[in-house]
Amino acid sequence: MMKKMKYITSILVLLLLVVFRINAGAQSSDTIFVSGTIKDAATNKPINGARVQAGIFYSALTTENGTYKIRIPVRNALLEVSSPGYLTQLFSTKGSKTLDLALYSETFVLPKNNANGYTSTQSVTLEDELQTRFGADIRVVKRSGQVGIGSNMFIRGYNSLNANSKPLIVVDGVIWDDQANVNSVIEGCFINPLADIDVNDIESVEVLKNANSIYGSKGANGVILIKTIRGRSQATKITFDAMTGVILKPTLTPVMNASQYRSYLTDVLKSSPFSQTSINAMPFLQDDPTSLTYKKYHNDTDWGDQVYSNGSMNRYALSVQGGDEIAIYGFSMAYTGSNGVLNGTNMSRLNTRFNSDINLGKSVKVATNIAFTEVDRELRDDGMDATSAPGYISRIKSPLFLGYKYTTVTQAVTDKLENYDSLHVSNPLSIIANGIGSQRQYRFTINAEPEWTINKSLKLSSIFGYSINKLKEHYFTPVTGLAPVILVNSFNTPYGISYNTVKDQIMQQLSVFNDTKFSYDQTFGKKHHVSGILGLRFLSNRFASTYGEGHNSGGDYVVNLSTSLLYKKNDGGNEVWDSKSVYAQANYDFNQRYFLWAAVSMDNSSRFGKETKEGFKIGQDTYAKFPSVGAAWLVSAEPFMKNLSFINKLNLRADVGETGNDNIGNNQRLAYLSPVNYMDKAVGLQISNLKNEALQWETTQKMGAGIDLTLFNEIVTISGDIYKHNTRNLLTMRQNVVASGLDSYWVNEGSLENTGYEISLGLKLLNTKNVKWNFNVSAAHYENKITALPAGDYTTSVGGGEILTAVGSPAGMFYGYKSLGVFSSAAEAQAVSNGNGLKIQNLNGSYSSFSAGDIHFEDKNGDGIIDANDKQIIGNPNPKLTGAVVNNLSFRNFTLDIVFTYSYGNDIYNYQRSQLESMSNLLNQSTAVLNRWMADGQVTSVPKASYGDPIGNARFSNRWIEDGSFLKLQNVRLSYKLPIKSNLFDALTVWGAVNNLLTFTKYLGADPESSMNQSVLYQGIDFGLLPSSRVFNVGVKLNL
Amino acid sequence: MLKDIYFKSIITALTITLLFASCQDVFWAEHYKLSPLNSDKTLMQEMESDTSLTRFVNILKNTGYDKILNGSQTYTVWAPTNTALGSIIVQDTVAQFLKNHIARFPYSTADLAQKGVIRVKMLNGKANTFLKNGNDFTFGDANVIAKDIVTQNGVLLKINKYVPFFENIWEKVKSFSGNDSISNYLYSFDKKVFDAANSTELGTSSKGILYDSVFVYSNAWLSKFGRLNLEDSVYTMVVPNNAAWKTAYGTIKSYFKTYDKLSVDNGTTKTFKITGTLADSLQRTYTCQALTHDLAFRTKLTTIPADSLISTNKNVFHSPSHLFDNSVPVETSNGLIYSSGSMSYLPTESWHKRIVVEAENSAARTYNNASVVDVVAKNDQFIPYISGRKYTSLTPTGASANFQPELILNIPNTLSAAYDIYCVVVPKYESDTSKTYFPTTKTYSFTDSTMVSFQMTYVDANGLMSAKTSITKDPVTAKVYETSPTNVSKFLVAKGFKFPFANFTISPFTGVVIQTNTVTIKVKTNVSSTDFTSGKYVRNLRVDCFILEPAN
Repeated sequence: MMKKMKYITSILVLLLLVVFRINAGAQSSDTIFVSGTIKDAATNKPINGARVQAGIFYSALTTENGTYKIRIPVRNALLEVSSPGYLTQLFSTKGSKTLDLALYSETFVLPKNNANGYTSTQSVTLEDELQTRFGADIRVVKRSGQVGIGSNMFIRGYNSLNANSKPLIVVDGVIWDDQANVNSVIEGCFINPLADIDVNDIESVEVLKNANSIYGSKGANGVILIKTIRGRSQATKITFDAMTGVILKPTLTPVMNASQYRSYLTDVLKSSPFSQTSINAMPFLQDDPTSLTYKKYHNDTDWGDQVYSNGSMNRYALSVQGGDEIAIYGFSMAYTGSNGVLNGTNMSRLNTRFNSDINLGKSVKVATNIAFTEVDRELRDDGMDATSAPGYISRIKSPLFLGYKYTTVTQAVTDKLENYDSLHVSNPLSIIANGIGSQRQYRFTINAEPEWTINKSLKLSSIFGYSINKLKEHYFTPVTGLAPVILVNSFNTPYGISYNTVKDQIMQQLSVFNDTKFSYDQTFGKKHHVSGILGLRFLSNRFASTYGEGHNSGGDYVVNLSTSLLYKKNDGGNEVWDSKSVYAQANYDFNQRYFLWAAVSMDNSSRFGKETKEGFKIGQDTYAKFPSVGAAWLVSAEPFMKNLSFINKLNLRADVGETGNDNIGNNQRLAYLSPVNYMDKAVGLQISNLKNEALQWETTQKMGAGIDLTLFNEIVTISGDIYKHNTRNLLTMRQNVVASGLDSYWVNEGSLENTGYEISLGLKLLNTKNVKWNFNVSAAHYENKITALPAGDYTTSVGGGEILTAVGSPAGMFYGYKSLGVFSSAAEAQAVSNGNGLKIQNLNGSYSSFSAGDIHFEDKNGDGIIDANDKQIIGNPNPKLTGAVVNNLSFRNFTLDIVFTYSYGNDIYNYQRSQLESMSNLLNQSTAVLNRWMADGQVTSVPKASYGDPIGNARFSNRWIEDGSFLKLQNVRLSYKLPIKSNLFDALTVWGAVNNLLTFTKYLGADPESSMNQSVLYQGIDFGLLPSSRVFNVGVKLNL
Repeated sequence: MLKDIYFKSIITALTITLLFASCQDVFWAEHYKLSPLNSDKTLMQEMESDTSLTRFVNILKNTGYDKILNGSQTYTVWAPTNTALGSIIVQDTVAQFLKNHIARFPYSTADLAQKGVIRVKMLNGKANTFLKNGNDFTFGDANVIAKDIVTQNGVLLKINKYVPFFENIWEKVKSFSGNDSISNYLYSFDKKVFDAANSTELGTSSKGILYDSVFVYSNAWLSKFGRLNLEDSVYTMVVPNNAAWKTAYGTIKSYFKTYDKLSVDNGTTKTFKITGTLADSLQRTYTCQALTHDLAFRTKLTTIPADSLISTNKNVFHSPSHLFDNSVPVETSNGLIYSSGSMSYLPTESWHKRIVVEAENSAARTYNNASVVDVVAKNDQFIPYISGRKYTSLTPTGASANFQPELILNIPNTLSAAYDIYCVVVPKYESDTSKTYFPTTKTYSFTDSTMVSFQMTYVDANGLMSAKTSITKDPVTAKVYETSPTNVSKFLVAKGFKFPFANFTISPFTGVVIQTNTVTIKVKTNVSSTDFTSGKYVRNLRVDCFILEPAN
């Protein structure tokens, strides 16, 4: 690999030399001009006052007739034309002396460059916007339907298996720690640092996905560069924003009503161990209305209705910008509040930000950012927890029960909450009413960036960043209504019964960041443009956390941790990690046609061992080096392209380089002890990790090439990229000798690769005076392949499923049995396997046969026995294509945005459905089981109900693997700028938007956008987290 | 022109989108809604739509059972067609007819795939036989003519005959005429018992916890001798008619003559009343128990085995055909009843049984002048002769003339009937595993022999419970009791001895009735000081057991 890199580097250097040689003869000292007219592309009317810029030295404005004349440094110059209300466009003169140009309305701005949307959006967290704007550039998978809970993001496949695989986030030049290792005490909840930024405060987002190694050991997964809004002019601008909206109840997997459920119950009980006498005596099968318990067991409760209702969303914001010659500032504050669709849950955010740019004399200026955010959430457990997650309980709880008690004699409903039911399922209403799940997150950041312009071409700047990030969580489940849980230790031995749980977590993180750099920019002989940076980056984190857990508080009003609780657990940590980096980048372009760049970063981190395989040492510290180079050729600027007038722009790009992933855990290289509970009585220490000074970063080598093409008078814009990543030194577990006391330890072995492409197409579909329609579609494809594993292939079990990690396969493959349907008759079951039928071997050595109504699993090895040897790959969670389809329309003062997102070709393990259709217990099931097999000869795809499922019909098979392809009408937004001129305000815009309006999918779960958590292996698993639902918003924006 | 193309493509795109839009609903409906392949009718609706079932449907409607089959529990109905019903006359239409054709849970011919036959528990608690016969299926005696019709709440099968209702043995015993003697006795054990585990606690009131109470049926006789009331297992029962009962009662009664209450208690001697209500009631209880405890047999005995038969009381009857003499088999839903006109049970096979009392049974013994060790036999030569492989070894605790070790054993459950009484004594050398002392014909240079005597205590015909005269000689051979040093000795203590009263101390149904053991036998060394000092005899004694053989 290294050889290849060197080879490419030498070619680039050669190319550079050739370019220099060619140019040596072409230099001219004449002053040259270009002139022409600039018109509106829609109306063909000339544009007055448009600004034309050539390089940094020459600029001109158009006249009333739209004519301009501008001096240009070289014959083949690039002109940047901008005018308010129009798209800023680049044109190449291609050696011509005259150039007539047409400008498009700003409706036609590429979604990802459209800053307007960021400043007036209903999105609470940035990911929601990234998904619709960056389409193919970032794969964004929503974590759940909770407001502002964020998404898992992946750029160009998965570059890691066990370390972090999320992109690096840089806000105003400061690296944000993504807190990937912090878990919430509330199940199904995520810590989302991006929710600390109000999307309306974001000015621009840039995604770095190529081989550029400037972020060195932090850049392997790509980089998202976020800039917050700054004051831009001295004129005072005051903006007031208000939004309100309703979040509709989510679409839930339909479950059976009371009568369907009772019919199911009396079917599944056939195979239960209960005697007919005790079944006949079961109170829910007693139909005598005069019985004192009749009402308690004969309701028809729609638990979904009891647990979910429509939620709401509000946002009020004020921003002020202005200043004078000395200082320009931007100030904003906003409140965002939401009542969740799950009753009892809510979210509120208060954020304020003050950015200023101060000129201290001619050559020194200071930019500052100060921001404070508080995000409060009240949540309940989410996901597949049958004890404490109200959402899941609403699916499985028998409709025969009611959440409230009846009086004993008169049988009237009271307002007293019912206890857990006789099927051992909690009362979700009690968890909602009496439980607690509060999460409070604060972040305070202060950045200062002094910049000294040393001379025309050299600048020195330094960013100092400081942030405090605090998280406080409190969790409590009530005794009333909660089904007791048997607590088991790691050896699966029961040690107690939990009647309720109290958990608390406090976490604080201090980050100090500095990035000091020299920037250089110079043009030599008009045609040679050189720029570069040389910098030093330092990041230090101090992290402290405390966790406490206890059970059996004895009542619903004793909600706090106390010494009287049983089965207590404590945990916590003080972690410190630092990293420093020396980096440099050089850019060169010749004649604005040939572009070259090279970047290098040398990184050290406290996470790296002292004796790494690939690093080099400076003093005691191990450094990693990450080189990269790239080149671009603006073909359309070549004189020979002059006659191909239908091509407006043709740019070719290529790059190669190495980046790293230092997110390998703070202490994985060290030997350390951690506390353990000894017999639930005392705390001892045991060794938890083995020292490995060879532990290092994961290295991702990237190669990419791209094309940017604009055709037919800029109506068609095409951009395409192909890439190949090779990641080596994967952080993997290696089996250890037993004598050490630890099963395994971390090593850098194993490798994987990602290849893929990204393509986007923009069409200016309509461009008339009144109606404009900009259409953009993007698609991304990646193919992940594991190429080496130190300990061979392995599977990971997740919620009854099995995930295969194997050489030659992509990450996250579903590995299980293949179902061929349901045996409709006994004869059919007997006929397979040469008339012997299929069997399983029981634990005691005996065999059980598959019979009518059972699933016909494929007997892969043909031995007549269904066992682990018959497992195979049954699904691939990796999509073939993802992207977005974005329509921006404008009609006079109306603008309409219609955004679709899609994913094609990915499989989902519908874990929730596997539970709701297992038909192996007395819990409620989805209405699909109405089609269950009941009698010989019945043709159906749903097997028979079978208590305990001894034959394993519900085992992990492709019954639960579904096509997760979807096309979502993610966002429809109509806004109207009132045509009112007033002394009171400058502009008034009203808008309405719908999120999640429609989803086109074959998927049978509530939401095809699902991932169980952020780890690579858990993608494509529907853990039944709160699905996204439709959100209707209306808003008003007032500019004063 | 260009705009036209634009508009057209927009409209096309929108149309495609809308077509796409219906997709999701289609897939969800396909999966989560009732498939068109499956019937949306209930069992009742399915039957109503079948013209060949109109008569059965009418009966269901008349009895209100249509609501149940239209309801939300899953059942299987074996519906007799109109022609199958013929001229049916049933007394209880619901329990004996409808519930006999309806079962909880879905059943279909697939249930017969592996075993070929199942006993389906019907709603009336009866089990009917659902059987596969080649490609045909039968239910009871009826042929299944339409099978496995799936409905929303169960499965329908049509049959060409209705399935007659049979009472089970327990019900039949009661409904039979002419045998109320036995049924009165057996049904006298009926009880309703509160079932706390299955009762639901409703809350508390001033009187304590309020339950939605569940009571369960209980019958101590059935619990002990076979659950003839259940349909799950099959039995055969001999049921004596009143005449047979009376004769048998008269015969058996004499074995259970019992004394009455204690009147004088002088410690070792006691005096009981010889007649009274207690005596009568105990005699009746034991007689009835003895009369009925061997009537039930597991399995349905359509033919009587020639060799032997074991009753549910675990008594073995050899060549048992005589038990069924003078009887008529009657079909029931869970087996056969032999209605019997005479009882021909042999007392020794049924109630007058051999009694063995082990010396090592420490709960039933007392001893004097000795220290006692319970020994597990080791010598292969003796083991076959030693009951339970254990015996008790008595060693004198002193050397004076008074120290004659003695062992007294309680003999329970003797009847007022004749016994041959034996005592088994073990030689010293049992504990020596070397076989030097065999065979017995060999002469030995040492002695380990002892003399013994016996003494019995029982309630005599006058009601006096006292120690009777010692027995020192074999009543037949008139030899004194001398133990063999080398062989197991079995002494005949009494021949054809008839106890005046039965000594039953515990009732199987009511627990302990009389706490005194009135029958004991004492075995004691009977060695004079002279013989002991001279070394002719020792005073060591090893007792295996007492055996009371019923004497004819």
